Parts: sequence; structure tokens; C-alpha cells
Amino acid sequence: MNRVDRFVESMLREQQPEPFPATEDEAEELRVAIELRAARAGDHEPSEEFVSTLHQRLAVALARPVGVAEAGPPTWDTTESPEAADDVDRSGVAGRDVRRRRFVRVAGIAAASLAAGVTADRVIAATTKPDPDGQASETLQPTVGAWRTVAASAELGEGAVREFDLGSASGFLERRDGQLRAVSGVCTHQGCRLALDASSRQLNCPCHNAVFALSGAIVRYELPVELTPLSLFQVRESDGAVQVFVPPSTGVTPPPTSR
Amino acid sequence: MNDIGKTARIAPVRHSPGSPAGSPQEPGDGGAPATEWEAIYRENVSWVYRLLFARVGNQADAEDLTAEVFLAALRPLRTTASTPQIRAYLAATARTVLAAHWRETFSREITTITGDTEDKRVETGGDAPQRADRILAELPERYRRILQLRFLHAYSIREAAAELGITVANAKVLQHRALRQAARNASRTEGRS
Repeated sequence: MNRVDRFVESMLREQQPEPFPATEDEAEELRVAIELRAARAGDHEPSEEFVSTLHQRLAVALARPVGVAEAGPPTWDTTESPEAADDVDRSGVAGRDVRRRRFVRVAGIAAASLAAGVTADRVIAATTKPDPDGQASETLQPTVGAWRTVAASAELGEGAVREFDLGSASGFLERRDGQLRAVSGVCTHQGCRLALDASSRQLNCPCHNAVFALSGAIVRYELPVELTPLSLFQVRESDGAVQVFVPPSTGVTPPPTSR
Repeated sequence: MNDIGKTARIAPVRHSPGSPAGSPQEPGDGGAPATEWEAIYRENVSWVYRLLFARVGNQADAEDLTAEVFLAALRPLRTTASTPQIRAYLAATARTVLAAHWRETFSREITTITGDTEDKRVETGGDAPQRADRILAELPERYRRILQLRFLHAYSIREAAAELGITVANAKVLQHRALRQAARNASRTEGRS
């Protein structure tokens, strides 16, 4: 049996198929298999048990403070053991590990949504337009906020980088080629506080070793999750002071984790 | 590695004063109050599940991904949004979750949730039966039969072999070739259009 056949057998038995790095031809076979399976009449409703279990999980997750996203394994996770799932020497990724990784990602998505102050109607506005550039950092424009002074202009010469922390927002200021830039200092993965590596002019995340450029762009990371670039703050110079536009201290931006 | 985030993410959102967002964020806005998120959940859980089931083809993955969508989506959801807005938001979240799922498991996107996810099509299971018919119609009779029995009528490989009057080993080979042929036809069709 090849790996596509194994996928099909798992799917037809209502089991979680074993992952493998598919070629384009194999992907097409998986696609056709899924389409055929989805065309079967009936049985497309979630089970009562699943609906009520997820309801309980959501109640627990939503009762937690903002910024603490759920990362634990699902409570109904009683299916195959890693040993059993791994008996076909394949990618070596057991079903259980896959599940755990998926739930780590949930935390990332939730945290990113919160950091950007996402609400339903705004997301719709964003998704109806094509993403101009997947790597571009977005400038945060809080509906409510204030210009706050974070440095004196004289302190920030050409090429300088300075950290700032206003409670509701923290990040790094940079003046490069005469342009000012203020980038968020909070990792988009799980909200860890970033540290400046002055020699490489990069921001390092102590939690999972993600690295960002001062432009907000992702330099590298080794997480099985999606990561968004860092947000930028609006920044201006006024009367010899460098100011950033930040939300009020009670805003939705998750507070820095380390204090 | 970097391109992972390109399509599979919820883009940070630009919002300007005067956007339809209305009232500013409440301090410590935790999303929907208890009873309202429950209503949203009850009204949409089957819809999201069907949306995902049609694209992964098995209950276990459909359940995991449905849970992911609600865990990611419910907190930032404004309950003043209308049902179509909520569905569009849930579909956008599901699209992100599904894309990441495929990349993690098979290194490429197998199925996607496209823009055509308005209520009607998903309520009726989309156009899956018609698409399956088209796939099957292009195949020789024996290929069509084995795929019909296994995928549409839930026959085991043994039952399908008995029905076709062949050995189990031959049924496996037949199914394997039938699926490969169907995939080739499908990619040829895509290439044309």
C-alpha cells in the first residue's frame, strides 16, 4: 500500500490520516479522494457529544483573561496512542503530536487577532481586499489613542535604535536614512517581549527563538505555526520630541508578559 | 519558512477613524458576553463543521479543525455583527486554519475554502455530489464502480471485492489505479480551464 492508499483507508474509516509530504500528483489524488468522500449522502453533521464537549471547552477558554489563549490538548483526546499511530514507519509524526502542534497554533492566531484589535466587521473588511503583500507590516491605527513622547529627537541620531515602554504599548524606535520607525516589541506568536540584538539590528524572541527585523518583517523562526510580521506604530517628530500613537493603557493590546 | 505566513493568516487590520467599526474597544474587551457567544456557537457549529468536513473528508480532522476555528474566533467576535458577517468571519478563520492544517500535514494545500461560501451552498453540502458525478463520469466502468462502492456507499475493501467478483488484492489495485486516473483527469481539467 502506498501512502495515498493509506490516507484513503484512514479517511474511509473515519480516522485521522497520517501526515506525509505530498508531491503534487499525490496531492491531486488526496483532493479527489476527499471530494468523493464528501459527496456521500448523510453523516455530515457534528456529533452531539462533540458539540457539547467543545461548548464546555469554549466556556473555559473564554473565562480566561484576554491574551491567555488556550494551548492545551483537547479534552476528548482519547484516540490512538503515539505508539499505535507510529507503527507504520512514516514521517515519524504521531497523531498526538500533530494535535498538540495544532493547538499551539490556535494560541498564535488568537493572540495575533487580539494584538491587532480585530473585531468581526474589521476582519471582513480586510478579507474582502487582496492582501497587498504577505510580508508587509501593518501600521496600527487605534481608533482611540494618543500621541505619546518616547524620546527626545536629539537622543535618536541617524542609525540609533531605542526601546520604549508605555505600558499599553512597547517597542523599538529606529532612525534610518532619516526616517523614523516604531515597531512593536511583542512577538506575534505568544506575546513574549522581544529583545534587541544591537549588533545585528534584529529583535529576538526569548520564548521560541523567532527573529524579526526592525521593519517588523520575520527574519526566521522554527515554529510549526503561522507568524505574522510585527506591527508598526505611527510615529512623528514634534518640537524636538519623538512621539508614537498608541492606544490608551486600558486598550486591548496584551500587556507585556515580563514586568 | 517565511512564506508559511503569507496566505494562511488573519491579516492585521487597518482601521481608521470613521470605519464602520463603531464604538471603540471596551477596556478588557473579552469578546461576547456568555449567553451571546453561546448563541453564536449553537447557530454556527454545524455550519463550520460541514464546511470543514467537506474539505478534509473525515470526522476526526473535521472536529479538530472546528474546535480550532471557534477557539480562535470567538473571543474577538463582536456580537453586534449580523449573521452574514459572523459567517464570513468564521469562514475566514476556517480558511486560515485549514490552510495551516494542510501545510503541516501534507506540505501543500489540498483543499481550500474559497470566497463562494455563502450559507446556501454549504448548508446543502455545496456542489460535492455534482463534482463527484463529473469525476466518476470520466472514468471507465470498473474504475467508476470501485470508487462508487468505497467512497459513496461506504463498502469495505472486502465487500467491494465481493460485489465486483474479484479478489481483495485485485480490488486494492483497482481502487489505486482508479483514484490515480481520476486525479490525472482532474489535473488535466484544471490545466485547461
